[in-house]
Amino acid sequence: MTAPDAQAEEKRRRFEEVALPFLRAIHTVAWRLTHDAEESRDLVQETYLRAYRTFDAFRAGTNCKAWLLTILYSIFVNRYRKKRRQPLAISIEELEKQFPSRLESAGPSDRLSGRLWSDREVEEALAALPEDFRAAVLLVDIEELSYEEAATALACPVGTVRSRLFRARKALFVALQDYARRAGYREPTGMP
Amino acid sequence: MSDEHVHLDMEIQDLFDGRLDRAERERVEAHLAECAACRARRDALASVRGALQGLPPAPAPEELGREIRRRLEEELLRRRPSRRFPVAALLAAAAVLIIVLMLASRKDLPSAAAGDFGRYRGGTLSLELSTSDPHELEAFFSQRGVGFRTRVFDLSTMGYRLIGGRVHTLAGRRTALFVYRGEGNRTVLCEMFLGQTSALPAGASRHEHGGILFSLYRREDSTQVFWQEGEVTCVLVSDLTPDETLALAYAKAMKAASPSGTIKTPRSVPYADRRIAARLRGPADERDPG
Repeated sequence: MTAPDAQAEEKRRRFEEVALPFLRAIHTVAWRLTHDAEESRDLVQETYLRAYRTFDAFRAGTNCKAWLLTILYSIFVNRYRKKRRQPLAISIEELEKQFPSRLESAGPSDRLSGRLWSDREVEEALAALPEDFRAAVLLVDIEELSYEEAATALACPVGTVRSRLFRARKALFVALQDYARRAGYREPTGMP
Repeated sequence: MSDEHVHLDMEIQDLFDGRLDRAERERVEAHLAECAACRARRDALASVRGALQGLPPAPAPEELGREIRRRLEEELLRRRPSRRFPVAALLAAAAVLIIVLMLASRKDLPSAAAGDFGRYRGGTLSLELSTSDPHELEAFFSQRGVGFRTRVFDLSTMGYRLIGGRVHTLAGRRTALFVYRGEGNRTVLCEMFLGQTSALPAGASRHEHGGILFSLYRREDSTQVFWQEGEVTCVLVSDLTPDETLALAYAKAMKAASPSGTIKTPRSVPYADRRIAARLRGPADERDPG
């Protein structure tokens, strides 16, 4: 009876070694999806348990973080999203529409590089995005998944990842420009 | 969008994300060199990414890692065979042997499913109800007392039309059987029954998608993909390629797991399925729905 024990023990050891280093990233994504301490903790635990149960199907050498995020997102969509009545997210179309004009008023590109907004403001702008769009930037811009990995995680076509990313980035740009304006930045001509 | 550079919008992002081949990259770069407005677009994308990447990770609760390790340990103990009661282990082994013998005496599930598919294609297995309405078929199954709740999905957005179904028997199990047809007479047969995928024979190629395990077999010129939905085992059989069959199984399983059970939102349709659906329906559908 020791052989299966040793095998199971080895499997758990390997799983912890491969998957647990991503705990922080996984928890951060869970938090940014749910914005609820308890839900994000449950979501992370459930993700790890389910990942452990299907660990045999995980191919060594592939992106473990992307695999964990795929499981996380599928649990999130099936369990958490439906029960939460999230306040109506911003209209992404509205923000997108303002993109060309904000781009113009932002002026020369070197003006875009400064940090004109706080982390809290970036988090706020991100949180205001509709979930599908938020998830795309979380996975690609922050967690640095490829489009293909993100498409698998979000269970959507690569083309959809591409368009959601683009729309989300434009909307975020507009939101961040609003913060920048409030922080005192005015018109391009006013800059040295 | 009235901007005159709208035709380069997405390509600027493609360049930014390193998704262009060399020729396209050179073309977009040449355009950027000429066009300040498009450079500003690129810089806008960069400023957004910079802002996002500058965010610190959310502080993880300290006990979270410990809690996960504890639950993994529990999981390990739960599955560990009993050492204290060798008699129980012996009895369990005897029970397994009996089940194995019982199973061996009947056709294995993948072969039985392949057989049903072959008989349906050959015209010797008829449907009891012809309908393209999933709800009507669900009501029929429930009326016929299959003993579990069936969820028949509309796969029309994937290019597969529901043909109808029947109450059937698969290797001694009562099943809800239903059939879809796609272009070129492509046929997909689905059966659902009370059971566990652990009853499946060895030799499957195993695939995981969204935390669900799929077991794929090849028998008699068709592909059989099994997975578990609660207390019900599902099998999808077709003579499409194994990859295509698997993609349809993913779509159906993810639909079952999703709250609405619909397949209308593109978010819930795996990439491979969309590709297949698009190919079956022609180029007009390649358009991005998001």
